[in-house]
Amino acid sequence: MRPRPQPRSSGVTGAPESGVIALFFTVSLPYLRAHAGRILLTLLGVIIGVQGMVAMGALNRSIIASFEAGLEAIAGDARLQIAGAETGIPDTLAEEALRVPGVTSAVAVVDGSLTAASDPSLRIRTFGIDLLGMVGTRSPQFPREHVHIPDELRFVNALDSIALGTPLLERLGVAVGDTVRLATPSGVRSYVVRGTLDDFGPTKLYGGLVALLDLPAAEDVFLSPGLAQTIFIHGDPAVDTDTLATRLRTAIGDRARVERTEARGQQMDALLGSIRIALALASLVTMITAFFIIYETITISIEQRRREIAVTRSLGFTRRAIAGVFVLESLLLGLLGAAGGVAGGYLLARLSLATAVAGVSGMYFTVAPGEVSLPLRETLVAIGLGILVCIAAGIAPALGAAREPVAPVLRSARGARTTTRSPWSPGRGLAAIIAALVVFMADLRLPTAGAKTAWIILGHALFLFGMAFLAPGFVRAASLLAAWVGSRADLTVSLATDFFVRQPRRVAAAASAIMVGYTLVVVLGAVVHSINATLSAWLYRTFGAEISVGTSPGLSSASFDPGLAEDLRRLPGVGSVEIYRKKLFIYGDRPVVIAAFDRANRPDGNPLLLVAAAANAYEDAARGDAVMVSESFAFRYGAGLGAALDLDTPSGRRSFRIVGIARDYTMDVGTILVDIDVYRELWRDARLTYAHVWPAPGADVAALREVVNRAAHDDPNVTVVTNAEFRSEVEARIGDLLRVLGSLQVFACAVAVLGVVNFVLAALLDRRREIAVLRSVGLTASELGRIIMTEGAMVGAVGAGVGLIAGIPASYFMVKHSMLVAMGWSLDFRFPVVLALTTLVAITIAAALAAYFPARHITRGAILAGLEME
Amino acid sequence: MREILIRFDGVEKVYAAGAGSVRAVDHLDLGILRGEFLTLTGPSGSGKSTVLNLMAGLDSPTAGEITIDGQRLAAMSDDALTIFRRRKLGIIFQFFNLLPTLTAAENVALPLRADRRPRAEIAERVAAALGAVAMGHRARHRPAELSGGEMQRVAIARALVIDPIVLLADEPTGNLDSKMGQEILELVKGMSERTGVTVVLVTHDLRAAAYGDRMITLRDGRIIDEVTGPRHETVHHA
Repeated sequence: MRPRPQPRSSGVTGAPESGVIALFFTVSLPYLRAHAGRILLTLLGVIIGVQGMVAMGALNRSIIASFEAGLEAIAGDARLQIAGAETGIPDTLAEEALRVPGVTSAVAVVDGSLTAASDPSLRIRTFGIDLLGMVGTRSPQFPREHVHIPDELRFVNALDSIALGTPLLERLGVAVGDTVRLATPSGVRSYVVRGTLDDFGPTKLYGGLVALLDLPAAEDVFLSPGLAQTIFIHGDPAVDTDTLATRLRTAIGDRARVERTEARGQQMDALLGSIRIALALASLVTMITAFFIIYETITISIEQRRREIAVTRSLGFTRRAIAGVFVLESLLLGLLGAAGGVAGGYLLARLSLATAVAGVSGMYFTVAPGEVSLPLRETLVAIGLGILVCIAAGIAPALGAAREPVAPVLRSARGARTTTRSPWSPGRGLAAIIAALVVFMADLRLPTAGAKTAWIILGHALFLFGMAFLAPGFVRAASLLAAWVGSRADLTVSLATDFFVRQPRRVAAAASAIMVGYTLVVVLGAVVHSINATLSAWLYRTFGAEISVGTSPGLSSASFDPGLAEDLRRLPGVGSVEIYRKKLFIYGDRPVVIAAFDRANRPDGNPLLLVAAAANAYEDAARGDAVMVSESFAFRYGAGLGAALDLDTPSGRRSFRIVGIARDYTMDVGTILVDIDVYRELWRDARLTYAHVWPAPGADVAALREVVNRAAHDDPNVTVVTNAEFRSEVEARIGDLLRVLGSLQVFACAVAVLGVVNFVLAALLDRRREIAVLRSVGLTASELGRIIMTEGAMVGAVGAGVGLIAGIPASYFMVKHSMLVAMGWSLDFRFPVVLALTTLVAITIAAALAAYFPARHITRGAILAGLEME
Repeated sequence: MREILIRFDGVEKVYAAGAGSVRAVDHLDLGILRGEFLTLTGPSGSGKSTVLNLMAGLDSPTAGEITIDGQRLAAMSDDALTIFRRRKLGIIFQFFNLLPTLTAAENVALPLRADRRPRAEIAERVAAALGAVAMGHRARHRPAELSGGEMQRVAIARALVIDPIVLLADEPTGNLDSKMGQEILELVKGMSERTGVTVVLVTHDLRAAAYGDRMITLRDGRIIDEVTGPRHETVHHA
C-alpha cells in the first residue's frame, strides 16, 4: 500500500492572497482608522476629480438627450429626412418624395421659436405642419386626437390662426377665440387662437409651451413662402433605409440632402465639441491633482509604517504581500472616492442643468429642460479613471515599500532612511516633456471632438507629469535658497527652512499637487486674456460702425426684415448702412456658419480681418465665384487659398474658389464668408442679422442714435447699440470670464490647502519628539506654530513657483496649439501676469493658513508625551 | 545660610491608568537650596522622573504648589512657563534630544535664539558653552557624527548656555557606558562647583547619586531616605 502523500504545509507554500488580507487587517486598517482625517482629505481629492468627469458627462448627455428627444418628438418614427441649407428647402419636395417607391408619407415641417410680445422671456416652441395635407392622414408629431381645432377649414385658410398648448393658454391668460400678440422674426404679429394642443409629443416635451401653425403661415414667419426646413420621410418597412435613401437622392438630386434622422443630433453634438473639450480638460486637471494628493498620502503612510513593514517582513510576509496591501489601500481609496464622485457628480449636474440648458438654448439650439441621467459609459469611464489614478499613484510607493531593507530599519530607533529608487527622476521628467512637445508640434486635424480631446489631454498630461517628475529638482533648488535665507534669518524662518529642506520628496509630492492647481488657473487665464486680445480686435473690426442694429448673438438668434435696413439708409445723418447675415449651414454633414458680408457699404471697404488673401479677393467674391473662409474652417477642412469649395445652395450646387482666409470667431466650427449680394441670390435669403450704421461726416451720433431707435422700435427682436455700448458689453463679458477665473483661484487654493494639510499633519506626527524638545528648551506653542505655518507657506510658494515655471509654457501650448486643435482658432498669446502673481500670493497664504490648525493641535499637546516617544 | 530656591509643598501627581489611577508623587514636601547638588534616586516607578518633570514645568501637579526662585509655577501661563524655562532652567535628558539636522553649535544656540538674543552674544556664549564641555572642536558636527558621550556634552552645553539657575538632569548617564557616564558626572559636578548652579540629578545608579551634596531616595512617590554630604546645610521644612 502506497503511503498517502503528506499535505503540504501552508507555511511553506504560503498564500499571497491571505498574506495581503492579513496585512490589511493588522497593518492597514488600524492606520487608516488612526489617520481618518487625512484619509478623508485624500478622498476629497479623488471625489473632486471623479465628480467633475461624471458631471460633465451627465450634463452633455442630458443636453443631447433633450435635443434628441425634441427631434424624436418632431420626427416621430421617421427614418429619413430631407434637409438643406438653414435658409430652407422647397416644400414641393414633399410631393416629389411621395412619388418615390417605398415612401408612405412625407411631412414638411418648419420649427422655430417665438416669444410673447408682453413677456420676451417666454419662449414658445413653434411648429408649422401642413395640416391641409394631413386631412385623413395621421401626423406622427401632432396626432389628430391630440389636436383640437373646432373649425379646421377656417384654421388653414387664415394665416393668423394658431393652436396653443393648454399650459400656454393658461400662462398667457387666453382662450380659444382670443387674440394673442407674438414677437416673430419679422416683427410683432397678432394671432387668433383657433385650436388647442393636448399634452402629447412635442407639446409634452416642451412643457406645453408649444404653438402650432399651418405650414404656409410658419414658412411666412420663419423662412419664406414655399420653403420648409425639413421633410420627414416614413417608408414601407419592407424597404430598407439605405435603399429608400438612394431612391430619394436620385429623385431630388442636389437640391437638398437626404440623411438619416439621427444625423441632426450628431451635427448638434459636434457644436458642443469645444465645450466638452474645455470641461474634459478641467476634469483632467482635477484628476492629476488627485493623483499627486494620493501619491503624497500613500508615500507618507508608508514612511510612517516603515518599522511595521520591516517587522512583518521579518515575520515572513513576502514582498508581494507588502506591495499588495498598499495597492489594496490605493484601490480602496479609489473605490470610495469614485463612489463619492459619482454621487457628487450627479448632484452637481442636477444643480447645473438649468444653467447649462439656458446657455445652450441661447447660443446654439433650443433644448427642452430634461432630467439628468448618468450615462453608463461616461460614468464607468470616470469611475475607472478614478480607480486607475489611485492605483497608479500607489504603485510606486507600494513597490518601494516591498523593496525596503529589513535589518537596517529594525536596528535603527526611527527606521533608516530609504535607499530605494525614487520614481521622481529628472530623466523621466525630461522624457515626458519631450514627448509632450512632440504632441504639441504634431500637425493634426482630428475629425471628432473625442479625438481632439484625447490629443490635447495627452499633450498636457505628459507636460504636467514631466514637470512633476522634475519637481524634486525644483524643491532642492528652493531648499538651497531656503537654507541660505534661513542661515541669515531669525529662528522662525531658520527652523522652518530646516524642516522644509529635510524631506524633499514629500515636499515635492505636495508641491506637485499645488503646481497642477496653479497651472490650471494660469493656463485658463492665458486663454481668456488671449481670447480677449484677439477676439476684441475682430469684434471691433466687425462692429466698427458707430451704431449697430441687430439680434442677439448665437446661432439661435432671430433675423430681421431687410426693409429695416432700407429705412435706416433713408434717415438723415446716415452715411451708409453695412448689412450682415449669418446662419448655420451644413457642409459635408458637419455644421459650419455661413456669413454674408457687405463690402460695398463699408466706408473703408475692408469688412474682414484677412490674414491671407489672393489679389482682388473682394472683387472675386463679389463676382460670385469665390468665397473667403475663416482660419478655423481652413484648419478643420484643410482648405487653403485657391482650394475649391462645393456648396449646396437652394439654387443648386455651386463651386467656389477660396480667395481669402479671415479671422472669424463667430463659432469654432468654421465660417464661410460670402459676398452679401451673392448670398442673397444663391441662398434666396434677404433677411438680416445686423445692420451697421455709419454716420455721414459731421453727423451727431447721439441724435442719430435716437432716430435709429425710433426706426427700429417696432421690431422687438432687434436692439440698437452704439459702438461704445458694444465695447462696454464685450468688456463686461470678458469681465464675467475673468470672474470665473477668480473662482478657479479658489479651487487652486483649495488644492493647496488639501496638499499642505496632508503634508503638515504627517510631518508633525513624525516630528512630535522634536517639537517636544523645542518646547522643552523654551519655544512657546505660538512660536512653534509660526514656524510650522512658515513651512506650510514655503511648500505653497514652491508649489506655486513650480506651477509658474510650468504654467508659462503650458499656457503657450494651450493657446497656440490646443485652441487651434479644439476650435481651429489661432490666437495671439497673452500671459496673465497679474493673475499669476496674485494666485501665487493667494496660494502661499492659503498654505500658511492650512498649516495653522494642525500646528495648533500638535504644538499644544503634552510635551512629555512627545519626549517619551521613541 | 543659603535660601531655598525650589520648594515643593504638598505636591501630588496622580495619573489615570486604565480603570484606576497611579499616584506617582504622594504629598511631597521638599526644599532645595540655591547652589545645592541634589540627587534623586529610587527604584523604577518611584516617581523621581515625575518630580523632575514637575520641577521643569513639563508636567503639572494634581495638588500642591511648586515654587522656583520665588515664582509659583501654577500661576504662570503656558507661554510664561516656557519663557521661564528657557531663561532659567537647563534640562538634560537621558536620550540627549538633540535636533538631528542642526550642528552641535546650532543645537546649543537654540534657547538663546528662541529668546532673540543678539547674534554676537549667541556666538560668544555658544563658543563658551561648548568650550566648557570640551566640544568646541566639534561645533560644526551633526549629532549623527558624534558619540553618545559627545552628544550628551552638547546637551549639557545647551542646558548651560543660558546661565540657568537650575540644572535638571534626568538619567544623563543612562544611555552611556560607565566610562563616558563618569566623565559626564564629573563635568556636571565641576559646573556645579564652578558656577554655583543648583543641580537636581535623577538617577537609579547609586554611584552617580553619590556625586550630590544630598541624596534623596523616593519610593511610591514619597521620600523614604535622605543622606547628606559634608557640604550640605540643613534644610528646614515648613
